[in-house]
Amino acid sequence: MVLQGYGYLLVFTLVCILVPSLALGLSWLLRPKAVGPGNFTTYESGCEPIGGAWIQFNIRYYMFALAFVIFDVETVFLYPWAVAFNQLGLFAFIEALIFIAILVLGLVYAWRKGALEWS
Amino acid sequence: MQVSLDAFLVIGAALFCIGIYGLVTSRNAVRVLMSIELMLNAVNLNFLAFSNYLDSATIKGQVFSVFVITVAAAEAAVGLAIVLSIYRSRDTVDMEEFNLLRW
Amino acid sequence: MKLSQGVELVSLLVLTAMVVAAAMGVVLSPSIVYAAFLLGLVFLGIAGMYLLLNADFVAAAQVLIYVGAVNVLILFAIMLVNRRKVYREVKLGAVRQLVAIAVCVSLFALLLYTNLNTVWLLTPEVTALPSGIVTLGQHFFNEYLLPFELASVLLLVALIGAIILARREFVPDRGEENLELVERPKELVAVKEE
Repeated sequence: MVLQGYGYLLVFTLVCILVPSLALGLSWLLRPKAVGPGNFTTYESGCEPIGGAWIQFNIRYYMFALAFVIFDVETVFLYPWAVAFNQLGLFAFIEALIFIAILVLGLVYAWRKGALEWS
Repeated sequence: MQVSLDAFLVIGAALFCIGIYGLVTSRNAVRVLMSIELMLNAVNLNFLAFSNYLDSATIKGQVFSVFVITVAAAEAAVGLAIVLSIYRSRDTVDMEEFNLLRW
Repeated sequence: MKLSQGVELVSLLVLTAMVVAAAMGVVLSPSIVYAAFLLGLVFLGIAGMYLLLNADFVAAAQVLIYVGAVNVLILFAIMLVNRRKVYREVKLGAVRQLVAIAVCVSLFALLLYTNLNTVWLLTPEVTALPSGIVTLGQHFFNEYLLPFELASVLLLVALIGAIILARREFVPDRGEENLELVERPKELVAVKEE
């Protein structure tokens, strides 16, 4: 009793797993194994990184992620409404507008507080 | 052999117990929040299993699981903000150091 | 056994192994960053299980919200608070661990026992289900209208609360490009020990 059409998803997932593991595994088998100090740098043939990777990041990254989470959830609520729009009618349209309006308040607040600005 | 309701309930129970273990024993506050997410996912799995096997016509379990996901997202946002705030004032995320309200 | 049932069973077994192993990793891994990535794996595996349970919309929501947003939020929070630091030893640490393991294992045993001793009122098999999205939309705008609207209020409150909590203390723009996290002055919030 599985939904129709998801066999393709399964095949797709299997291919997605297979291709990179084949690529990495084959190159691991075929390549010569040379060990040197260059193997342990972060970018083996790129720039030398400045400073450690365990630095503290700017709090603004968190702000953007936060706003993203909230509006992502909003999307999930609006999607069934959009799909069932023809069966639902005007009342649901007004309700969805109220839903969006309440969240726009949050957007305005975040904007006013500078949570959406970089500097 | 067909996949039955019991299988999903057992997986949910296992996830929930792993989540409780992490919740109780973790020292890192962020990991505590991650354990809570595990437990909420276990609950969601139960909702959807019941929805599919006991109520497949009116899928009310799916409605509940969407609400649970919403609450979990809000909880993660506020919980992590609280962790950040505590980290700024106490300079650690160790649960054992959070004794401001300890009697 | 039909082919589809076999595929279903094998997928469930693979997903179960993946989810349980990754969940153990989340709880036990010494590195919190690995734990966060394993948490993403757990979320993906559970989304696969949702597909096996005919909940395609919830599976998509799971990937969108948990993997795409919550996990990223957790990673950013880890980047903000991560400082490698040895935790102070606590009294009776090993005993605490053992008690926690005992409690969890016995809870699991209890749940297993209850599950195996309950007769569920299974509905007869419905073949060729339509996708549940339209049904979900109708539920949202009929009997679950109030929770639907309250969800937006909850999200609003969460957004405002989290911004207030996480925002750095308001510093007037001094026009300098300051990449450090601006710390609140310690004296104001330092709480007396003891």
